[in-house]
Amino acid sequence: MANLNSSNQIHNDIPTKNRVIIHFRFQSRVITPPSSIKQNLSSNSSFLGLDDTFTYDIHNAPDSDSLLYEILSRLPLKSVFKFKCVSKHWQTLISQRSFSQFYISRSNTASCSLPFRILYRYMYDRKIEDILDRFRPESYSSSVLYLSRDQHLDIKFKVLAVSNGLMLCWSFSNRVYHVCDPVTRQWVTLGRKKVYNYGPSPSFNWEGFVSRVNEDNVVTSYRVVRVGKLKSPSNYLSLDMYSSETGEWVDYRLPCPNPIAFPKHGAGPISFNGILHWFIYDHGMVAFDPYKDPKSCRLIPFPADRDAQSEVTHDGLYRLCDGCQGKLRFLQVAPDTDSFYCFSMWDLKDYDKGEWCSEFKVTRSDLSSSDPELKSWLLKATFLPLSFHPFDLDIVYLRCVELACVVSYSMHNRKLEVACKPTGVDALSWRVVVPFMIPRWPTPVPMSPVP
Amino acid sequence: MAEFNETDQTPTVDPKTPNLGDSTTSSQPKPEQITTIDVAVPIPDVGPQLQVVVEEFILKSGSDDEEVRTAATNELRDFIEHEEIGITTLLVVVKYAHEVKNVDLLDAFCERVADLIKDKKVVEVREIFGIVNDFTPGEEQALRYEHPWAFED
Repeated sequence: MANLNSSNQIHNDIPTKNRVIIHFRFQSRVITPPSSIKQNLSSNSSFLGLDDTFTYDIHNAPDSDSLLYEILSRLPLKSVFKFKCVSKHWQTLISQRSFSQFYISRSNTASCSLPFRILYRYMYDRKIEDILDRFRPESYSSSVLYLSRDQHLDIKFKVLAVSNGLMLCWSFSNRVYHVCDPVTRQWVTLGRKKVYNYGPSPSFNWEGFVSRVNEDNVVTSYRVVRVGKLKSPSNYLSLDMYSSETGEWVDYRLPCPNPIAFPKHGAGPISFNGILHWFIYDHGMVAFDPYKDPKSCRLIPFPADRDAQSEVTHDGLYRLCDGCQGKLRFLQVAPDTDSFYCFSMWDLKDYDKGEWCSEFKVTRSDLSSSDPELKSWLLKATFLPLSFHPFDLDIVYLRCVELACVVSYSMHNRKLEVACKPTGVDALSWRVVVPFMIPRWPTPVPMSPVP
Repeated sequence: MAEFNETDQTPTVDPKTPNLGDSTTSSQPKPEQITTIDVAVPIPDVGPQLQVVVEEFILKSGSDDEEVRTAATNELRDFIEHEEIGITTLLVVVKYAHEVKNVDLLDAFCERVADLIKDKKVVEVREIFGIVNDFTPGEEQALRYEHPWAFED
């Protein structure tokens, strides 16, 4: 063959078995690095830096920023923010939204542990700072249920809700609300309410928490809404609302199309698409959008073909209603082993019309498990729903009472698996847990004006 | 040390076809020619020991067998940790890995660099990377106040 260049000439002389063909998993060529790298090697180590002063390649080569991304994204968050002080270039780079997105996606895929927990709401500690300490990255055990409970301390806090990375907590001892960022452990105390304007004050609780974010995913404001307890069914819903923009509580008294009453326990609320939904006695939910004006409320009934009697008898313990990935779902678990269907699920297909659609109904004999002990109990165990998986529409977590464990139920293959066996907590139900995505980036708490 | 990797039988360019190093390719940029190499992979000088280790790793990282790749990664990580390879040298390999787009090599070395610098003071990091501080004392202080949690011990 004519015109072979010299390199091929050499290659043909080498016995085949001695050839090395370099393949990279993602690229099948060797790209020889620019020759200039060789001449810099013997020089001062400062030439090998990756910043503006790096003289290896073109000044501010696009390469160096992407290399910095690779290194900085592997640092713990504390170090990332500390190194904002290194130089203006590093500060700019770290503050870019593309960097935080890169960091968060790397954290979620790189860590082999779960990116979420089912948080047990009650925490015992002396101060809010100590509670927040429990949200350090190293504090999460591998168990799905995050239970943080010291029985010898009786100062109690309750995690009421989580919204866009911020956590709303209630301090039983100081009787104040705290809004916190579990990542930076920054917290604020909400101002107390001054006066109730509509006569003798009902007791307000069942707090809901919603927040708004800007295009950089920074929380710009939040609102805490409580409902007033009703002694008897009323055509009016009493609410009060704290707004971070004003630092004040405002009362509302909203007319309802039908009389409503709240159950004794488990009124919620749940947050769905930024709207709060409290469970009302017997028939459904009352919805309130804290950011919508004029203020109004709306009633949404539960699926008509559910077991309404069980709801009343068991105080809603056997049903789970919550949002996931933009879908509002209603799961009902049959309390008795002789009910035909064990699990029934509906999806609120039309939110505005309040129309539910049945997703599935399974009998006990449809269920299976790879755990032998659980399998032996499938026909007779008592299951209580705990929480939907925060982002996987296929999974729901339940408590198996007799085996004292948390199980996961996979809807597509109807399999139950043991998720964890928590100790030291009884009466585990959906009311005392909250699904919690482990935050990977700080969320500054918006400051409120002092009224 | 050259091995003929069976699975590389069908590369994207058959090395046996002559490099038509005549008129058709003379206009193409030389550095990107597909190369079969019978000499060491052109890694920058990082010392003979590390060079061999990196070369071997690159070979194994091309394997289709995940176990081979995982074992190679673990070996590499153990080596660079045990030999206490300095940050400067690590950065040379990081840069190289980035250019040759070897994801596993990049990952292993970046992790190690991150691990070594994570607890360092800001001034130490500047020294390592040869960065001049362009903040005024006031600006730097303001940044520290903005993220006090990042400066706690």
